Order: sequence, then structure tokens, then C-alpha cells
Amino acid sequence: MDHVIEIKKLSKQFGKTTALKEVEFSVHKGEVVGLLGANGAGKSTLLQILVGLIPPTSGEVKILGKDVQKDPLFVKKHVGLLFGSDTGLYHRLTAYENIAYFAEFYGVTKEVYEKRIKEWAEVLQLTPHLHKQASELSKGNHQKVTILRTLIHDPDIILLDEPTTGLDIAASLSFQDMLKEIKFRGKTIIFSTHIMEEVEALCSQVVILQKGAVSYQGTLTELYNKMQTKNLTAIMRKVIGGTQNESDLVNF
Amino acid sequence: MRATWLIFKKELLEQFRDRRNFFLVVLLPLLLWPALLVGLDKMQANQPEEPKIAVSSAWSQDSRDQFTKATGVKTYVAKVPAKEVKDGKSPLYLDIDSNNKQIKMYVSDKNPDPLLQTQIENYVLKLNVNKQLPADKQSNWKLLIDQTPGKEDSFLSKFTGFYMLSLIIGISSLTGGMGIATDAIAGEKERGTMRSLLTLPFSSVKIWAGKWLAVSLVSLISVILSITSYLSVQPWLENMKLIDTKWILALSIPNLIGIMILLLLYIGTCAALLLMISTFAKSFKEAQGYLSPVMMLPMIITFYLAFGVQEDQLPQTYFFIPFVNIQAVLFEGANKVLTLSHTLIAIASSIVTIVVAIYLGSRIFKHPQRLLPH
Repeated sequence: MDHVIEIKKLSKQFGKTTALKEVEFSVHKGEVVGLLGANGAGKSTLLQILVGLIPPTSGEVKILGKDVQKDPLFVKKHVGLLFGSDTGLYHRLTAYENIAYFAEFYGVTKEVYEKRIKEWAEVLQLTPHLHKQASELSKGNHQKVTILRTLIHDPDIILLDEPTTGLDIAASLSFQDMLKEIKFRGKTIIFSTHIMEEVEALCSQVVILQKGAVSYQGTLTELYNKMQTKNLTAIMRKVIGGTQNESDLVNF
Repeated sequence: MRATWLIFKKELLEQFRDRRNFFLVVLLPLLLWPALLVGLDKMQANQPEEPKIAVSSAWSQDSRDQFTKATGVKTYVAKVPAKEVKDGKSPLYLDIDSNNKQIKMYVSDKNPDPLLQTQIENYVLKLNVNKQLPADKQSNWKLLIDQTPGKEDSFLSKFTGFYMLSLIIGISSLTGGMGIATDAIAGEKERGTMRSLLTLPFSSVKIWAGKWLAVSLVSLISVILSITSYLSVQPWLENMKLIDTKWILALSIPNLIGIMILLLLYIGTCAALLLMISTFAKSFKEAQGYLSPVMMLPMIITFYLAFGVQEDQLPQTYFFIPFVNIQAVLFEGANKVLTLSHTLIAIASSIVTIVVAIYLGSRIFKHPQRLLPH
């Protein structure tokens, strides 16, 4: 299978507000795609539609060849979605229990999830906090738990919405290493972020959303060439600040 | 079934670690109901001891004075003594026929007072020993007892076994499940865990079912603890008349089993209702705001049956109405007129109600727009 994610003419309206406007792009297996855009550009809405959490107003989304609306359980089984800063944990469960709870839903055996939790908690420096109740965790450790919870069933497609929010530099870099390892194993990753260094370090492709529409999809190199600069932060500042003409960016 | 079981387990684990819920489910039944019962018992003990009874104008002032001196019961002459009993001003009335040496005691058919009746019987016995009443020096006096239409019991004495049990079941089913139901959906929305839950590869119906089972179980525990504490405090109550539970022992086995089935169906329906409300609320606080008026529902039904219904037996329609039917069954059971057909109608109606409530609850839960912030 060539494309693992195919999005065609995807639109989403919330009342009179247009969240997504005829979004169309596709992602190959093993790619890491950076989903960029200003606040309210539609990134989170797009990720939630991809996992079948909210229905689109029109258009089509296929994950691993299956229509998200027609076969949501198949899609959910193969996708892991991490929400942004408002991701919640069960406060009266420990960090470990929060992760194990989700692992059991996916049918991951205790032996396997215990091994994964041990390894990844070590990488993210979460081990000393694994048996603390979630209500006692700092914001950063809270985010580390949600990362492990998202990855615990080793999904084929990983959708990450601002995954490093609240993480310190060391944990962010460890997380980047984790993603590189996951990518190496052929997993497909889409992640939205406002930290351009992460995009430059990890992404082979970027998709830029402006007011719910795709204004650019392609490789970083192509974007640099088009914008005649290798400074992604400057490019995004232009896009978000509105000084960049939308039509100049669209390349497909 | 795995998803439902996992959700069920997690909900219970979380609730048992929640001190607030521990208070609602365990401490409230163990402390509140006994405290309330002891309080009512004391109130009953403090009721005025000296009743005033109506007598006919055939009683002379001397006879009334002698009666009061001997019994401690004050009297007043009423033109139509039967009306005094009917209006609830007097628990009974006495007529006297000096020529035939008879005292007629008309007791209320609704609210008889056995203690007072015994006092009067003893008075007549004494009378025959002492031969004090001026109208007769030779032969014995007779006491004739008859019934007269009386008024329903007073507010306090309405707290018989039925009313307390009805209130306990009605309120505990809701308070027991309130904490977990608000936490299970509105709380998850507020914390942001609901979105993660909905990304799981299971239908939302299975997720809802796990939550519903957990809420139902916690409510059931609360109801069992409440009834147990209610029954266990009985030996310490000195004025048992108001909170008598002997009627439960008088129930037939089929009716007793029927009431237990009804109780389970009622708890399940309450759980579905609580979860529905929780689904509509955006936050924990909002859910609690919506749920508070719902807590009044069992009280309204109980008080309606207690003070709005004059008959012992209720019309058949009461047994078809959801939430009313279980209380109607308890009402008739306490009045010892419960028929198996009424119990069966209530069970059938409750089965329909619980099926509808589960269907609606899970259907409302299916709409992600209700569960997710935009």
C-alpha cells in the first residue's frame, strides 16, 4: 500500500465557523509529517477527524485504505492520537495504571506493556514517578504519561498534537530520539507543533494550514527553495503574520 | 465485553480512591439515616402526652372531672363529637348513657390510638370496682367500642416504615450513584480524558455500558448500606410506632422477591438517568447543578403518597408510572394490601423503563459532539 493516509476535499464546519476547507493531502508509510499553522488554523480538528473522533462535514479520509467514517474501529485500532496540552489523565490512578489501562484496551499483554513502560519511562526520565497518582505529577511528567499512553500499543500511525508541551529540553530531545526510533521501524507520524526545531529535526514533509485550508504540502527542502530561506521560523512568522501571500505558498 | 469490563473496573477503582464518593456512598448511609431515625424517635417521644378528647353533652361536669382525675386525659364537650374525630381534633370520642350504664367509645378508623383506648378500658374497670360514677350505685358499667370516620395520621406519624424506607431507597439510589455518574462522563469531559477514551477501538455503547454497570453497582452498595443501617438501628429506638418495619415480614414471598427485582430495576434506571444528565453537562459542577433537582424526585413522590393519597390501595395507573411504581408497591406493602398483580405491573413497567433509559443513555453518549469540546 502506497499511501497510508489519504485526505480528499475534507471540510468541517462548526456552526458558521469553517474549521477546515477542502483539505487534501496524502502521507506515505514511514513518513514523518509536520502539521504547521497558527492557533485556530484547524490542526487539532484535522487530527481528530483522522482518528474518527469527530465527523467531517464533507470529504473523505482513508487510513490504511479504510474509510474513517465507515470503519472507525479499524482505524482506531491502528492509530494513536496524543492531544495537546488539554490531554487528561485519571487523577486517582497512578501514572503506571493510566498507561496500563489503555494498553489493556488494545489487548497488549501485561508482559509486553510492562516492558515498554519500563523502557520508555527510562528514556523520558519518568521512572521515579510511575507509581505516583496522576494528581501528584508535574505538568511535564503528566505529558510524558500521555506520550507513553499514546504509544503503548505500538500503533502504525501516530498523530501527535503539540506533544512536547510542558516537557523540559532534555525530555523533548529524548522524545525526539524516541520518534526517530519509531520512524526507523516504519511507523507513520503526523505531528503538529509550534517548535520549528522539532520539525527540522524530524520531518521529511510539512503541511501548512492557513484558516482551515492547506497552503503548502511538500518537503522542507522544497519549502526552503520556494521561500528562498532555510529559516523555518521566519517562514512561519510570515505565514502566521499574514505577510505571506497564500497563493505564493500553494504548490499543488 | 473486554472494554466494558475494563471501564467497569477502572470506574470502581477510581471511586474507591475518592474520599468524596466514600462519603456519599458509605458514610452518608451509615451515619445520616440512623441519625435521622434516632431524631425522629426522640421527636415522637417528645410529643404531648396529654390528649384531649371530645365527649358528648350527656357527660356532666362532675363525670368529666372524675374521668380526668382518674385517667389524666382532659375532655371537652363537643356538639357533634364525631366531627371532631373526623377533623382530627380528637383521637376518639366518648358518649355516655347513664340509664343503661354504658360508655360508648368511638375510635377513629384511620388513626386509632391503642394506648388511649387501654386507658379508657382501665377507667371503666376501675369504675366498676369503685362505683364512683353518680349515675349508678349497683350494677356494672359496660364499655362499647365502635368505629367512626377519622382523619389521616399526622405529619410525623406518617413516617412509618413505608415512608422512611421509600425515602431511603429513593434518595440513596441517586446520592449513591451521583458522584460516580458525574465523574464518569462530565468529569472525564472536564479532565480531557473523554477524548482519549473515545479514540479506543470500541463502540461507545460498550464504554457507556461499563460506566452504567459501575454506577449501578455503587448505587446498589449505597442502597444496601442504607437499608442495613436503617434496620440495624431499630433496637435502639424506643418509640417504634413511627418507624415500624414489621410490615416487611408480613409480605408474601412472591411480593418480597418482586420488590427486590423492582429495586434492582429502579437502581439501574436511576444510573442511566444520572449518566444521561452527566452526558449533557459540560463540567462536573454543571452536572451537579442539574442533578440536585433530580434528588427531589423521590421525596416528591414519597410525600405525595404520604399526604396526597387517602386510600390504602392505589389506582392501577400508579404501578405503570416509572419511579412512582416502586414507591406505590412499598406503599401498598406497608398498608398490607399489596397484590401480586400490582407488583408484576410495576416490574413490567420498570423493565420497559430501564430498556428505554439504557437505549437513550447509550444513544446520547454516541454523539461525540456532546462529549468533546470543539
